Order: sequence, then C-alpha cells, then structure tokens
Amino acid sequence: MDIDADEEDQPTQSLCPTDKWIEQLNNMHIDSFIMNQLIMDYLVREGYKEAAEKFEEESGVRFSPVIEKLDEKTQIRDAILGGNIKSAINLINELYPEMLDQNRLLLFNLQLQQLIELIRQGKIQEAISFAQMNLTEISEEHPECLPNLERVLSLLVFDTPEKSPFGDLLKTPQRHKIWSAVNTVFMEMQNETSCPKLANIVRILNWSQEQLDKGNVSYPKLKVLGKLDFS
Amino acid sequence: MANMEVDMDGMQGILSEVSNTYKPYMEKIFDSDPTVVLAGLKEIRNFIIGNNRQKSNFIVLGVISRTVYMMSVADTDMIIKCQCAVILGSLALGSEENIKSLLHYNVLENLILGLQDQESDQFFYETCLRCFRSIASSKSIAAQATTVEKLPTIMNRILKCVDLSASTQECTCEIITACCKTPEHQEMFAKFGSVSIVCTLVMSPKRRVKLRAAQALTALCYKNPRISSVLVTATYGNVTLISVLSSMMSRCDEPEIQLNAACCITNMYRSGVMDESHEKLVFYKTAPCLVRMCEPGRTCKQRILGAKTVAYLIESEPRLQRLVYICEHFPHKLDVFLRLPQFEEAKTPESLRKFKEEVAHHDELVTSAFLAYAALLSNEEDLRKNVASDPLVKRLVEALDSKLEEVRTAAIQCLLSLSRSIQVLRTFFQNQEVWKSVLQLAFRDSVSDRETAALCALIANLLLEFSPSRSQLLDGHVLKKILDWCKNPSSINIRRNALYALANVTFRSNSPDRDETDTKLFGIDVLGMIGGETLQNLAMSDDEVTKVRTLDVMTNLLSLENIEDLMGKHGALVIQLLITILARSTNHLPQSGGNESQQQQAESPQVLCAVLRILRNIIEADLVKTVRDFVIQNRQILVKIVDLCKSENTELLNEAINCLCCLVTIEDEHESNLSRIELLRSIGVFRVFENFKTSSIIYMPEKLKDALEYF
Repeated sequence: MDIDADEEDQPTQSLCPTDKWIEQLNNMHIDSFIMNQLIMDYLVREGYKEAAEKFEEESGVRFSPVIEKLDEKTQIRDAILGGNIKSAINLINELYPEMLDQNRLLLFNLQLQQLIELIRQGKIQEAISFAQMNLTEISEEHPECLPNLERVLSLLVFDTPEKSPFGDLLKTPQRHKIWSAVNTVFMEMQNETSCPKLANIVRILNWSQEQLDKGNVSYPKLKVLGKLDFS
Repeated sequence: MANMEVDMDGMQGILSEVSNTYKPYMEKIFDSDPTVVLAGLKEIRNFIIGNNRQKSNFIVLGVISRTVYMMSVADTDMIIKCQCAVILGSLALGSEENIKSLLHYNVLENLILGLQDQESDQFFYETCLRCFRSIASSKSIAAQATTVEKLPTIMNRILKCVDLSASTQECTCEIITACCKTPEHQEMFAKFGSVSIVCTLVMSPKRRVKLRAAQALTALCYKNPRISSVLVTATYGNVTLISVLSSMMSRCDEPEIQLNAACCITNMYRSGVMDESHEKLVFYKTAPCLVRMCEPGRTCKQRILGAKTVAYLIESEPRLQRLVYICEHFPHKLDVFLRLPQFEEAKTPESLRKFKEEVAHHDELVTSAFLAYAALLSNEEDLRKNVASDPLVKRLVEALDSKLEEVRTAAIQCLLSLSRSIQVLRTFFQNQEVWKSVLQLAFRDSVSDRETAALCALIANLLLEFSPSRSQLLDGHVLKKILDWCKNPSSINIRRNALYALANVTFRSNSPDRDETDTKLFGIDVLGMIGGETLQNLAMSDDEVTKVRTLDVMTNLLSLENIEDLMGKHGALVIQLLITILARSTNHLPQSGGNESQQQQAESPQVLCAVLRILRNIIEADLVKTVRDFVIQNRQILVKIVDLCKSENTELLNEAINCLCCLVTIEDEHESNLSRIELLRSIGVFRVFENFKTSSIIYMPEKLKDALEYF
C-alpha cells in the first residue's frame, strides 16, 4: 500500500453543483437584525463613531458604545489617518499614559510613520534629526525593527520617493496599518477584542475553503469576497 | 591623566548638550504660570514615554525633585499634579537606574500621600497607584523591599478603592503578586482581607483583571495550607472559585489565562488541601494544561513557567509523573528547551524577534527543563530508563560548568534523579564521566548552600556500593570534602546529605568483600577525622535525620573487624554518646489510667535501635568484657534497656532483647557468671525472656532460648 500518496492522486469529491449551492444560499434566511448588529459591531470596534450613530438612525440598532473613550479614540484615528502622528502620540499619552511605555514596538512604528510623514513633506533634515533622536534606542534594543527602519530611511536616497521601490510606504494603506496596530492595543487595554465579528467570519470562511481545498473537495469556491464571485 | 581630562571633557560635553537641548522644557515647569507649567510637563511627558535615554536625561536635569515638590504642595492644580504623577509613572517603567533615582528622592512617600488624598480625582489616584505598582514590580530588589515595607500604611486604602476602575483592580492584583514573596507577606495580605477581594476579581469578565487576579491568588496560596483551604471552599453566589479556575483552563481561553489558572490550582493542590473529588481536575485538566504550555509555539516565559510548574506539581507524586510522561510527548517538548537557537533560521523580522527572545531566555529554558526532568524521573525506574540518554547526560554535565548557579543546581537535581537508577549509573554516567565534573564542582569555592546540599545528595548516590563512580570519587579525595560538609554550620540539609554520603562511604569499608578502594578506607580513622566535638554535636542534634544518619555511620565504622582498634582510640566518647542517648529515652509503661497519649518518647525507635545495635556490636567484640561490665554496673542503663523490651515497636523490642542476650551469654572464661546473672534477674531480664520465649515476633528465638538457660 502506498502510504505517501501524492495529494494530486487523491480522488476529487464533489459536494454539490454550483447552481444548487447558490440556490441553497439564497434559501438561507439570516435575520436582518443580526446582520445590522454585525455591522454596528464593526463600526464601533473600528472607531467609526459618526457612522455608527448614523447607522443607528437608519437601522434602529441601538448604538451602545461598550468601548470606552470612543470619542478620543476617533480623534486618534483621524490624526493617524490624516498623517498627524505627533498629535496622535500626544492624544494616546493623554488617554493611556502607560500604553506606549509598555508597547515600545508600537511607539517605534508610530515614530517610523512620523518619519515617513516628514519625508513625504520633503523635510529631509528634520527627518534625519528625528530618526537620530528617537529611533536609535528602540532599534538597538529590538534589532528585528532594523529592516523596517532601513526601508524607510532608503526613501531619503530618492529624489521622488513615491516612485521608489519603497513607495508603498508613502501610500494611505500604510497609515491604516498603523491605526490597526494602535487600535488592537487600545482594545486590549480596554479588555475588549479588537477584531470585529465580521472579520472573524471572513477568517472562518477562508479557513473552511482552505480545508476543503486540502481535502480535494470540489465545491463552488467564493473567489472574490466583495463580488460574490463563485467559481 | 591627560586621557582622564579628555574623558571628563567628553562627559561634560554630553551633559551640556543634553542640558542645552532640554533645558527650555525644564524651565517651563519652573514657571509661575500654571498653563506654561502644564505645557512643559506634557512636553516632557511626550519625550520620556517609551524612551529610557530621555528618562535618564531629564532625571539628570532634576525632573523628579521638581515633580515630587509640585505633587506635595496642596495648592497645586489637580491637573498639574496628575501630569507630575504621569511623569513619575513613566520613569518607573524605565531602567533600574531610573528606579534607583526614584527611590533616592523618596517618591514612594509622595505616592502614598497621593493615594491617601481624599480630595484627589480618580485619574490622579489611578496614576499614583500605577506608579506604585511599577516600582513594586520592578526587578530592583531594593525597590521591592521598600515597597513591601511601606505597604501596611496604604493597603487598607488600596483595597477600599479597588473597584474604582478596571485599572485599579489590575494594579491592586499586580501589587499583591509583586510583594507576596514570603509566608509573612501572605499573612499580611490575608490579614487585610485581600484574599476574598482577589477571589471576586477572578470572576471578573474583564480579561486583564481576571489574569492578574489569578496571578495574585497563585502568589497568596503558594505553600500556604491556610489560605489554600479558604480558596478551595470559596463560593460566590452559586459559583465556586475552583469551577471558575477550571473553566479558565479550557482551550478556548488564551494561553496566558490557562497557564495562570493552572498555576493557581497547582499551588492549592500542593498545599495539601484538596481531596479525591479534585483529583480529576488536577490529573486530567491542570497537568495536561501545563504540559501544553511547554509547546514550542508558546512564548519563552510561558514555557519556562509551564515547565517549572509541572516540576512542582509532580515532584512527589509518581502517578502524576507517569501521567505527565505520556501526556502530549512531554519529554520531546523538554528536549526542545535544551536546543540552542539557530541564527540561520531567523530570516524574517518575526523569526528574528523569536531568535532574540530564545537567546535571552536560553539559560532559564534550560533550568526549567532540568527541573522538570528532575521531577519527572525522581521516582519511577522505567521512566528513567526511557528518558536517560547520552546526549541528555552530556548536556547535564556541560551545565555543571555553567556560570549561573540556577543552571548548575537544576542540573545537579536532574542528575540526582537519574542517579537513583543502577542502570543509568553504570552506563550513561560512566560514558559521560559525571564523577569528574561532580568532583570539580565539589572542590570549587564560593558555592551556595543550596547547590552544595544538592551536590552532597548526588555524591551520596554516586558513592553507593554498586556505583562504578565510587572508587573514582574516593580516589579523588572526596572523603575530605564530605567530612567538611558534615561540619557545615549554616545548612542542615548539607549536614544531612553529607552524613548520608559518609554512611555510603563507610558501608563497605569493613566488609570482607571490600575492593582495593574500600581497603584503603579500612585503614583510615574516619571517627578521628570527624572529631569528637562534631560527632557529639551530630549525634545529639535536635534533628532526627541527622541523628539517625550519624548513628548509621557509627554502626558502619564500629563493625566487628576493627572495632577493638577504634574503641581503643575513641571508646570513651562512643560509650558516653550511646549511654546519653539511651538515658534520654523515657518509660514505655502506660501511665495509671492507661492514658497512652501521655507516653512521649524523647528518642525515636529508629535512633534507639541504632544505639542498641552499636552497643551490641561493641559488647560482642569486646574481648576483655570492659564494656559489658560497664553496662551491667550501670543500673540506670540496664533498667532503660529492660524498659525498651516493653515497646510496641517490634524492631526496637528485638534489638533490646538481643542486647540483653549479649549481656547474659557473653561469659567470663575464668570467673563465675553467677553474680552477673543474679543481677540481671533482679532487674527483670529473666521475666522479659520468659514473656517472649514463645512469641512469634522475636527474630532470634534460638538466641533467646540459649540465654534463658543461663537462668
């Protein structure tokens, strides 16, 4: 008996044809109240207070900010997404003075983003002084940060950093990454999970599809989430 | 001199640069306008948070004294006081040097005043409490000691305000965990009512509070049956604390929570207050949970705590050892602890971070693995046979050379467990020449008492008669070291273990089957080397184990072959010791009214048996009957021996009768035995022999029968 059979040799099992699958999906009824709650949960956990209040008006789902200090958190989010990192750090220190002392890597990432903003604004001399004063200590203690620091400092070499190989650092998603990291620590300090339930559902979906793929099961795979594109 | 001037200039250059850069911020906090002061404080706060170098810079510029002053002045605006407390709190999260500076400026006193201030607002109270907690939790021993000293003045207030917020709940638990290091600390916290408060916090739905409360409970109930018994029966509403801790160990909870709940249950179990109804919880939930924490995917700190807690849980319980052995391939998990981290595997920032973590914690990982192995292999021979291997023993031998005492001591404890196996002694221990490293360590200076005690016990096992290392150690002059350890003034464990080693050394020294090494010992006056004063102190020790082992050594030495020679040199001392010990034993007859609880023996049966055995050996070997006559003429001793024939302890009874038989049957060749026999009859010896002549509990009925014929 061939124990180590190749995965490709394993027979494909078919669960259900695509049209029947979609028919069953359409027949499933999920209460709109539950859907609205999921959306509200997402808006609250991600700090979209105004959106949550508006959604409350439209859907009738009660907006109960179990998350503490939602207003202040929204201000911090707006500061980060707006590129005003110094202000964001100041607000974080007002709200949770211990947070950045106890999460030095988070502070490093915030200051690295501040460096990126200085480079984006063309303040090269200021950027170099800032890096010397603020980023050397943490990178000495945490050498795993050096590759990221090197990438950012490499932007200084280029006349048009946004066209450099590291130009992605100057784009908006980079700010979202930083905000996401800050939000995770915020929620942890407030004894809450930062991950919205919707994000967990997507994770479970991806994991389930992975398991079915590993088992060589043929099924209508959801390829593109946003477009409901089944293969 | 020129170089020093350059260095001083350099230092002053740095100081002046720091001063020039940050002086403007410092000047602001000396301003008379509170708005300017507040702005300055916030700027300094933003500088120092997350940056130890800036913390040190501003300490040099005097930020501590200024903020402490502002906090202490009653007129200062609360908002300014809050920022001062924030700055001090940030400094407390800095380096050990920063903590030292805080202690130097008596910051704790000011924090206590801040905590006691009834007019303050919640944010100020929380910030002061967090700073207090950071100082208590720091690695500085001085900081911990100072905090513990000051706690009683503030504990009531802290407990009263515990429910102000999640932050105060967390900090209270962290303070208890950091300061609860001794039984006295535990009792102090219990006296303040901390135990019940922390129990309710374990039930909190907030994850961080729950975790810190579990850690505090673990510290409170460690080796404390009284507090543990309170926790075992603690109930809140319909829910028991035990059931809450049990649910915290489920896999859906995060590892940190599972681990700390398991540690708490372990401490309660080891305090001896749990009964069979909790066995399932301990055996099938707690033990597997701790084993899971040793997986390679866990953080280093979790693995270290997991392994150490497993060691503590199983160390005196063979059933648990067997269970843990088969649980999730536990020995394989421990093998990974001993592996050196590989830099080649650190290719990504995440793996580089992991590599750095493993390097930083490598010694602790090794220590915890050795401790876990030591516990796992302490009782069961088949586990030792399955786990012992050349690579493991080699690793242990290498660890004996470590610069760190913790690593060496853990390695010794593991070797001690392994040394209980004859097979391991004869194979892996010989292959890796364990005796060599052990001998080197024995003769090293400045070894701590704890390490020496463990080393003594290991050497004792290596000196057992079937151990191949015995002759190698004796040739290496280990006897001299053992004799020194017998005299150790500070540690009872060292003396006990050294005496055990000495008993093993002397065990074969008088045997007809002795080998070359033992023959050398035969000629050494070990009693003389111990010294009369030391022998007396050991034999008269209040510690039962010390006494018994000393007598074991004397029994071994005073065997039949060279007893005359030894008695010639040390007879007076030996007899005096034996007689003194016998004289201390009390009457074994029940008191009038038959109240047996009033019988109190000053010496244990084990000690008395040893004494009688030695006495008998001496009497039998004494050709000129000096000792026999001395005993017979000492009515008090005779009465004691006859008294011991009434003991309920079979072994003691037999030794006493055996001794009396010797006194009866050892005849004088040319003199009449009549007067001796009549004297013994008058003491009651004949009556004793008559009582036991047909008894089944007598070991030597023939000898008794022969003795009776003399009457």
